[in-house]
Amino acid sequence: MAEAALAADRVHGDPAIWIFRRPDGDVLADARALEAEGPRGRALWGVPFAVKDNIDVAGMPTTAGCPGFSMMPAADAPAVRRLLDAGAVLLGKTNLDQFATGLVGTRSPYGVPRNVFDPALVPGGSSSGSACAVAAGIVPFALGTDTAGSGRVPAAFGNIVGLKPTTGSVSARGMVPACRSIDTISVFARSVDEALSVQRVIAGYDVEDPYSRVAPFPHLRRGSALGRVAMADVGGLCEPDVAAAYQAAGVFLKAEPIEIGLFLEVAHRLYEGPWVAERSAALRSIIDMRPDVLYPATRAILELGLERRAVDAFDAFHLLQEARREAGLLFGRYDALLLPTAPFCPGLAEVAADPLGPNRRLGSFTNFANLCDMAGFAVPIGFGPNGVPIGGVLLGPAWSEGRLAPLADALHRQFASTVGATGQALPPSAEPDTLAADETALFCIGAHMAGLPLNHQITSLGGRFLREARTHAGYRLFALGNRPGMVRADGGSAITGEVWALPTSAIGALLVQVPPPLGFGSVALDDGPVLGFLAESAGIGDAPDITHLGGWRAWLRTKSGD
Amino acid sequence: MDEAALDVLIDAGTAVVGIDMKPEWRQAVRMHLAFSLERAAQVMEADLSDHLDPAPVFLA
Amino acid sequence: MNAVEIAAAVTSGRTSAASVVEDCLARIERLNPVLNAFTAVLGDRARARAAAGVKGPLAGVPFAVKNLIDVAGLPTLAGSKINRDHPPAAADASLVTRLEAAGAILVGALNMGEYAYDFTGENVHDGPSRNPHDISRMSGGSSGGSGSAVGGELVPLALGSDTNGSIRVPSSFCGLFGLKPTYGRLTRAGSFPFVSSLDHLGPLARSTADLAVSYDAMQGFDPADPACVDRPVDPVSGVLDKGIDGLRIVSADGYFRAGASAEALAALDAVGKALGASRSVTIPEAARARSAAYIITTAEGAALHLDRLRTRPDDFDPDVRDRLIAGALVPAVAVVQAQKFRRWYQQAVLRLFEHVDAILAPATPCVAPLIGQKTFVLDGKEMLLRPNIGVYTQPISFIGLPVVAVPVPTAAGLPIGVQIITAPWREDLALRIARFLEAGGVARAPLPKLEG
Repeated sequence: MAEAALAADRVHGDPAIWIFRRPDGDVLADARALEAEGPRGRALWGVPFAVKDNIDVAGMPTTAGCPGFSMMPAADAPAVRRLLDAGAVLLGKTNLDQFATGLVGTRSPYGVPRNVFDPALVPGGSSSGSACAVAAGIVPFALGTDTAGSGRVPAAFGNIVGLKPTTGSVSARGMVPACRSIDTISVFARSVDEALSVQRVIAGYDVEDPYSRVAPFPHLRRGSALGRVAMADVGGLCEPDVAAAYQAAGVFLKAEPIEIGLFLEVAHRLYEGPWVAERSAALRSIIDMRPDVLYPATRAILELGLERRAVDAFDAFHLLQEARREAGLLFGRYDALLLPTAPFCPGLAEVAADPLGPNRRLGSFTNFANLCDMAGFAVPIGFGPNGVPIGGVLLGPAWSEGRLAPLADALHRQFASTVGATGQALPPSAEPDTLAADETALFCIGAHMAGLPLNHQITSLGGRFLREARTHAGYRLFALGNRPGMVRADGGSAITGEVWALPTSAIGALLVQVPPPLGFGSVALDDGPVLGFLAESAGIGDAPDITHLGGWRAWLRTKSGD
Repeated sequence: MDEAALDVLIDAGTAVVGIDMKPEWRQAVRMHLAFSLERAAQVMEADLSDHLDPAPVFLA
Repeated sequence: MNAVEIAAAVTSGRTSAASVVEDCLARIERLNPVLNAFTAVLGDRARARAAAGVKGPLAGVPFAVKNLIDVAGLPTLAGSKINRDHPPAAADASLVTRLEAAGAILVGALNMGEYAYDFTGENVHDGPSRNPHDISRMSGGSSGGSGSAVGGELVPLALGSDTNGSIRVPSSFCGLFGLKPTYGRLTRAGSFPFVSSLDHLGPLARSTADLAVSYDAMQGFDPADPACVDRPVDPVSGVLDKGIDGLRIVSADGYFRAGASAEALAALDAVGKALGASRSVTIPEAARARSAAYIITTAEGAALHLDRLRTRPDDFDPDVRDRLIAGALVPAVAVVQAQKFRRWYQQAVLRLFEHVDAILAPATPCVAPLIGQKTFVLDGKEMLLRPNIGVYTQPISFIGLPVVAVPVPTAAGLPIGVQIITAPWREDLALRIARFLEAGGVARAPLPKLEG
């Protein structure tokens, strides 16, 4: 695989992808050593990868796209260390918009990586080199970073997948900060499942990174594609082909329209305002002491940050808190929010003529996600005129990566069949993860099922959908207002419901939210007993018996008159 | 026809039919005219009887 | 549901026209933002008509028309910006009236290439209509909205116009059955012209039965169209299933295979095999016929638009304007010679039909190209796309022959059309052959995969 990667890099012939390419001999030596050792159960044994050059690799300079900043780290960033330990083979460090400030991929003294579809267009940034390395078929995955969209926008322009993990889920130690409170390392990959498998390697709590967070539950297990998706009326902000592709993606996912004005505003206000100061804070000494080493557009932006006022920051904090609350409510009703990744793909000439305007517009739909504590997948959703790829992003709340994965994968496969510009077929989808040792299968029959009002109680505790199922004949179902009660009864029928995997430790947390006469008990399904919702027969009273309908969804349909 | 000859035809012809030709259209008009005249030449090369009646409005 | 299935369900009372119309309008609302097929949706008119009660072979069938066909109350755009200033049409076009008399319900007007001078379905004023099987691809023109709307199942039936291929090209790209009847068969009264001596109107649908029933409803002399021929109505619905026994079916060779992509040839050969068409025939002088059609089109189109070219040149799609200006400069002798040649060519082709009943040819050289695509590669050679999309349709409509375009699936995953060409006034044979292919599963309109 390493030889193929080196050959693909030679054929592609774009030195601007790399800031530091390891010598072929070193790469091959690593690969041969791994081959001699054998896999030893390592998840990424022999898989070549690349790392954005604002993430440390011991023994290679970290420049963040600024030669004047270059320093030699003593240790690997933990994310890189985990990949190497998992058997992956590093090819080198990739180009970026200087200090990860930009979404265009042109703000680098190391050149502009070539857009793999049209050399007149920007590659997208800031993780330009990493995205191009995957899109060109050199490596199957690469690390980027994402603060305002740097892990998503270049994925769109390269027809590949970009996973923007939950902020704090991957240690940011060894990463040159941009906006430290909302930065994350990100993953570019050929498919959603390959991105997820890389994320399983790099994610983990790091006590030495103050922004690292402990996952509340195992959040990287893959569920099945099921979910209620929201979309927004933002077509008017996009080029027509992007708007059409976005509509098509929404139709495919049966997305429902919602209003997202607050999210768009919060991003606009923060990045045009106080949050610039966080970028400037990260690089304060350079801006103060050696501003001439900065790329002109980057310098202009960072210097703006020095003049921001703390009082404005507090206004911004309050606005942000409002947006986070809004996001919480949104993800109580929907599993995911679908947005275009970027409203358009600017040309190099357009960006040269106006270094700030097009860049600002590129972030319209990406820059609020980290601020509002969302995770998401950027996936291809089609092509525009002359084969320019178009991307969409599925966003969920923090720690929703595993739940989003099957939806994002289905979306990707509906609209794309090949990886990047390689013409190679997408790698196959992964199977949903089976019930793990620390999970309990829970049979849901009512408002906790997918898309229904209490489903968020399950998902927010880390529940993931496994399958539909039916009980043995021998149950009766009653309508207790807005939820059903199922009672074991002779002469009953089979009742349809859904089996969800819930972290066993969360069963209690769910149970306390379940009011009497409902509770949990063993339910006999066609394929064996599982824990499920049952009602005490004493509490049923004269509630209507809806057993004959066979399930709660059928009852809801009769009520809505469909 | 070379470009200069086409331009003569464009200038004279548009003046005759009263179209105010603008410079920014010229390149495309020239290209389409060249294509049309190739088609026309192919038609005019046809060896047709003197007694063949044109079919101005065609009835199948 | 196809048109005849809807009509059967409405007639039997299994569903109501009102509910069909509501479903249709809801689907348009959901999917038209993706496909951009409609330029006007007539919800109130359609609901009122459904409520008033409908009867007939198309009872309750929603349909839409290319926006060069008059709809009372709407300006007839013909895909242009200039016509937006026209007063609204006072009455529906004759074909709309006839379809509604058969129980169909008009739900809207459809996007099209400007003034029908187009094979792509792109439109600079309204944006491109999109291919329902891959929205990054062309719907085909100029009846692009018609292809997109029926291909995307927004309506089961649409009307288009065909001067050089504008029904058959979108049928091919969008995977539909399209009927371009004999020149003079269906009235064009109440439609905006392009090249009167070549203009035809006709239906696009998802089945041969739908084509046949709608075509039967639209037949009949109409003195309001000077080109409409006064001849008895030839209903075809009753003869669709008569099969192909005894029919002499051949494939066109030479010009009609040169320049075709592998997909186009595979589709043609699959159809030929299913029909037992082992013989082939050479349509004489097809290349010159195509050139003559081109000359007549560009000159007659320029004459039609001369005044607008003088007064409002900047309001045209520049690509249309520049072609029309070139058309105004074509020597008159070439145009007259083209008409003389047309006489000769017609006689030569009609002689072929003394020995054959139907001729098969590709509808388009390739499957739907990407929107905005300018060239395509054939046999390793890069060719201009737009002038070549209509190479196989143009020599046929040039002499008014009836054609049914049938959709055939390809290895590329996109459909492509095959033309079934018959002698003048023998729409019945072309439809019977299309029906035979449909029944055998060789030709079928693929379902759009827009919803997961």
